[in-house]
Amino acid sequence: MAITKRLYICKIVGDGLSVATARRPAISLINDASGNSAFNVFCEYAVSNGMLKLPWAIVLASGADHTLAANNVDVDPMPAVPMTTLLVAMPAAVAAAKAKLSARGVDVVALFAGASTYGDVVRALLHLHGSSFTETSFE
Amino acid sequence: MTTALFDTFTDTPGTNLTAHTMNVGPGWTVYQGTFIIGTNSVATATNNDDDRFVSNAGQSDVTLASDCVCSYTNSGNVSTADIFFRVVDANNGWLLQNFAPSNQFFLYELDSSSYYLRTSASTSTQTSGTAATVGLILNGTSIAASLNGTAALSYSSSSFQTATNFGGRVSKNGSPLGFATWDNYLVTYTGGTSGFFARYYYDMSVGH
Repeated sequence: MAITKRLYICKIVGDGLSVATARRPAISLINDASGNSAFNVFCEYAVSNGMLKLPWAIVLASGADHTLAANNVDVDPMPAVPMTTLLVAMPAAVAAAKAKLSARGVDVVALFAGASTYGDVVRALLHLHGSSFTETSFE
Repeated sequence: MTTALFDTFTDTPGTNLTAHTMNVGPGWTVYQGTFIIGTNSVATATNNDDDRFVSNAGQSDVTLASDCVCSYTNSGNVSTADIFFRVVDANNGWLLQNFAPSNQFFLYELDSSSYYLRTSASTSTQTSGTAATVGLILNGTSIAASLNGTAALSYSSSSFQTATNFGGRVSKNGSPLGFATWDNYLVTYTGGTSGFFARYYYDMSVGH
């Protein structure tokens, strides 16, 4: 299977006390059939003085089989659409995303205020972490 | 290019790393565990997870390379020779783990004694007990890692951007058959005086 990339919002798991139990997005704990990590990840989440700013991370995951991440309560896939996609063109996906983000404690009213494209929302999510990345960092 | 740190770990086998004289550099400091010279390499004698050593390069924007041996039977029984870089102290810095059993790099930030996974990437296929050259290019906020000269991972962060200590760290899990080792540890930077002699010693050590 070909390697494909997809954005996820993931709960941050682990206690950070060792590399083996490092704080990490939940998707990085999903293994393939050989017992190795099914996904390579590019994560963004804020840390200050050893403390997490938020309990979730925005993650670009690369893997051969993204169905392995399905039905995992700690892993929410983001819409697989171009960053320029207008939100008005994807109402069902926006509604689902708002519900999942709200469940993770995100103020979705503020998040979506002024957003017109999917990229606007991703940028706003990164901004919550004080990230210097932009939505194109994940493309 | 100027050589800030260089070590072929040529010494009497069994010499403690802290008593060993580097080819270039101020000497090694061990944060945890015991490291000893082997056959032109350095290995952990204690082989415990999180054993670490560093030396001060005096520079943070550097190019680093080391021939690292990872020993494993599978992902559950493994000892990896990681690169500990831009280290502030024992509790703050960056860690590049070359996890050979799955042919992956993992980049961790160590912040106030807590480890955070930042990114991971696939590498070329590796073999237990066989050295692979792990490389890093650090320039400002840019972190780029390679295996055997092939780019594999990149990331951007200002965390510990000006820290100047570099070294190694053991990640151990289960009961690997052998020890993780490092050899030809080289840290260079742009500017300063000529690194000719260090390069000469390096070329001689690897048979160029």
